[in-house]
Amino acid sequence: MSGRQKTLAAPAHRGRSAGGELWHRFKKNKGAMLGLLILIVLIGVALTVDFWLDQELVIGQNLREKLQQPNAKHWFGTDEMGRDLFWRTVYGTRFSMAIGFVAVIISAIIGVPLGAVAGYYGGKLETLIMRFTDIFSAIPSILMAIAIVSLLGRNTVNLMLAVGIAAVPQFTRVTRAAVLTVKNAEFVEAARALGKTDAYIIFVHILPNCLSPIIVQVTLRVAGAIISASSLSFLGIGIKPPTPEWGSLLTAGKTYIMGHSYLCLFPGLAIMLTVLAFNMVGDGLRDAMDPRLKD
Amino acid sequence: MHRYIIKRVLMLIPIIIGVSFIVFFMMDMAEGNALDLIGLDFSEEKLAELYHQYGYDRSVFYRYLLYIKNLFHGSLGTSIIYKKDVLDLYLQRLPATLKLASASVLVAVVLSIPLGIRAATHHGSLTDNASMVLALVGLSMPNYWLGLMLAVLFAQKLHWLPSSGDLNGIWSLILPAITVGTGLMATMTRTTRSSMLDVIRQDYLRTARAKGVPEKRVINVHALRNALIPIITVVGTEMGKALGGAVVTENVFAWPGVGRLIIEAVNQRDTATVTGCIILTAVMISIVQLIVDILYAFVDPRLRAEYSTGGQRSRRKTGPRAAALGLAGKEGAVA
Repeated sequence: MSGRQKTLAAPAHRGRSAGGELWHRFKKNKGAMLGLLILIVLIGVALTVDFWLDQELVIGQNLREKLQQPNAKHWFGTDEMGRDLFWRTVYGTRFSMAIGFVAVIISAIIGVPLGAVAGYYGGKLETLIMRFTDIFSAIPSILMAIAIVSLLGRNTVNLMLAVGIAAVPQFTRVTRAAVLTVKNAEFVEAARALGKTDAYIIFVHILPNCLSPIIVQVTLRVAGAIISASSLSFLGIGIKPPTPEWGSLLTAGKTYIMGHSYLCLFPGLAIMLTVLAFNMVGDGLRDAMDPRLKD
Repeated sequence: MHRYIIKRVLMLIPIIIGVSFIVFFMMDMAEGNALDLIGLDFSEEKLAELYHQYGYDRSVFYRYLLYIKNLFHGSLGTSIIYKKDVLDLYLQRLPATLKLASASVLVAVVLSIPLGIRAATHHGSLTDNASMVLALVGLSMPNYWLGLMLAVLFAQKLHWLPSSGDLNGIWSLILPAITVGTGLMATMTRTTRSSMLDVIRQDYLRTARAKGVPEKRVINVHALRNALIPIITVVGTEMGKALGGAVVTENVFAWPGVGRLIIEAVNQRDTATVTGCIILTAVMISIVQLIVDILYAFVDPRLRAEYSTGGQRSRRKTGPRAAALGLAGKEGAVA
């Protein structure tokens, strides 16, 4: 939001690497920095929670303290088994983050090569891949994910697969579009003249130059994947309670929503905060990587 | 124009076949089938007879070919669970889904376009920043969670609105429409703002102002008209999303639409119903897309020319839609 004049007046600084330049521009975006901060905390929690959080706090039942409203001892209240919702939500970070990242890695592993091949070779192969992508994306992704889970069976790994596969078309499209813009560049021609193989050219020369839209897509997609996965849990086809994944915490709380709405409020806020952070970072990255897109 | 529309309608055929292939195989190969569910109390012979009747004693390919054969005869098959024609089942649920989708798109359009315009004309102001933060928050909320929270607040605590079903006319529609509409609104506000910001810097707006056109008219006529294409694109995509993706919201509010039908059918392994409903949803979404593409021509004379003349040759690969996106900006493509 710092205005156009500034961007115009500050051409690419010499002596700064591409990454440094990116960071310099990213850093100026307050929202993106806030998002990044939140993400660092969340990822930190997700990676380390097993080491410092006493399992007893997460799964220990205490029926004498069941269904307590939020109070000084139980910040987010307690569930029907007297388990502390705050610690369950904190522990749930681990599941939701893992699902989000793994699902997106799956989409990228399938979608990026497909898009790269389609863009690089063109012709019939491209038509085939893109038509298939069109058909695939004609099915709303949540329905696609539901169908995949029912085919594979209901467990965490299949949930990640389902959410990941359902998001493949976006990656194929973004990658293809990006590859089309660089495939005729001189350095690609040079590589070809040197007799490099197509695979080498695609992975070593083309894809690294297409990274920015893909990275932006990854960031935004992790957010989408977290929402999709929790929606599936909510519909009763994702992760089953009592696993403290946020979607299933919410689902479990739904039974007691009359009079105990906090059971749904806090896991939902956790999802929102995480998704918001990813979106802010994704937006910030997009603006930083492509100054033309900066409003 | 007519030729273009016919071509687009014909393109539905591969989509229908492709979608039916993907969904049919996934549902059919899933564990358990509808016959086992309804046949719990049946005798062995009765069950065997049913298995034969629905082709479950043959391979999945046989059943699929049977399905496709029926499809070309205009039948989407019969639901084993509901004992009804799938098309009838779908049509029975469609009005509720259409009602919800149009209401939410309406809510979103009415709120987001003025907000987006204001954010763009007051670029960098408090309104601008606040609306962008709000849009981002709206985009980040899980739909079903917002629905639940609204239901708790307005139905359970304040008793203002009903929280489930569609028995109370427009009152029942309000909460589901706001729930679906919030997500749509977020995207639309962002797109409107960025598209307007693009246009506002153009020289022809300076010209319009210079010749004394009132500011209101400059914004609402000169600028908005030129900013419309990405906005229409997003409204179309979001309408499609509302048609197919309101599954979760329909479940929160016990809304008797197609989304709930699909979930019920998935849980009962009712292959014909799931496949049929998803095909029809895909067709509906394609029709919305087609309407959007036709609308482009009304908004942009350059595209109108393209539809009616030699567009086919130069744009064979991309089509007017892609051309429109290319002409008009990036947020539409990104979002």
